[in-house]
Amino acid sequence: MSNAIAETPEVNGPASYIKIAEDYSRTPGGRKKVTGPFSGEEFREKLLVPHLKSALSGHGYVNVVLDGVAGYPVSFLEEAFGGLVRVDHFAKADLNNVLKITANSGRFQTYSDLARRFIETAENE
Amino acid sequence: MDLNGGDTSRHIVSITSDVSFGGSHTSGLIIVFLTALLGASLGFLSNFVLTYLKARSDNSTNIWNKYCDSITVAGNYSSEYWCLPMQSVLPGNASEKAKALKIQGQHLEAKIIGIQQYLINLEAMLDKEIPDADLADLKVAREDFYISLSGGDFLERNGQQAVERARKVQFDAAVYVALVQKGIRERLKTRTILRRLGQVMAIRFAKRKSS
Repeated sequence: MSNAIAETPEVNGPASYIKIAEDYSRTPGGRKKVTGPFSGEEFREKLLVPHLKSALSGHGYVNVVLDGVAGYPVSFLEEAFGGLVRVDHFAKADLNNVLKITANSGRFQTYSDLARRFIETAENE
Repeated sequence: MDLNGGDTSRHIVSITSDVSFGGSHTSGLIIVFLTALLGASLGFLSNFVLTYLKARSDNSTNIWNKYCDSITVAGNYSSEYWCLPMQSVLPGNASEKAKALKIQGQHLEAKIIGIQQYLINLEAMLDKEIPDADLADLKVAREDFYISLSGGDFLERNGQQAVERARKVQFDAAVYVALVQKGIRERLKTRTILRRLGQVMAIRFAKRKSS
């Protein structure tokens, strides 16, 4: 059973999954690309933004599955998810409609809550 | 009349009354014995239940005391990390001191991520122990703590000490520890136990009614 956070909206249409542990890395790095591999910035640019743009144009949604990694630095989550609003200027309402952040295990629930919190509190740069 | 000229019926009555007296005495003893046995069993049972509940409660309290200790340890690692004048990306001509600081910092980064994951692994269990009224505040404090712990410029240091950050992580750790301890203490209060018992009974009653 999925433990997606309560604030995660009900989204409809075809799902596009990003399983971070399988599609990106089991050991996510820090915030920016310059400081090392598997950064939040790289994840956002290479995976998250293209999937979200595709979902927004095709009326589907993106489901980001957080499980399976060896822990997230919170700076990674802030850059990946907060950066969607702060850097890429996605509207929070659009993200509510097309982005689902899933933690299938309770061990990743807090990361899911944090990612959603970063989207809600982010401001455009 | 018997052969000796005695009154048989009188003799029989006498024997019967002796037997009857002996039976009632035995029954009394059995009743006393059973009552004592029942009392001892009830005493043993209640003592066993109380000891079990206390051991369970002590065990649970120990787990959460260790959990709080780990929050403090995580805060200490993090403060040490934020106070290091380390640089995540070293220039080609980096000094030996800069290299040593980077290694020390990377060691702390690994420890912080490890202990953060340990704390997160136990959260689902912790949340079941915390009364609903305290859970929302606890979750906010927890998120603030993790943001201080490994947010911001974590893994991305520029060679400057971040002393404010080092203080903030200690503050957030202290708030989180206090709320965990408050929640656990609240759980052990009698009225909380009774309320939970009431909730369980209400749920069972509702299930029975619906089926």
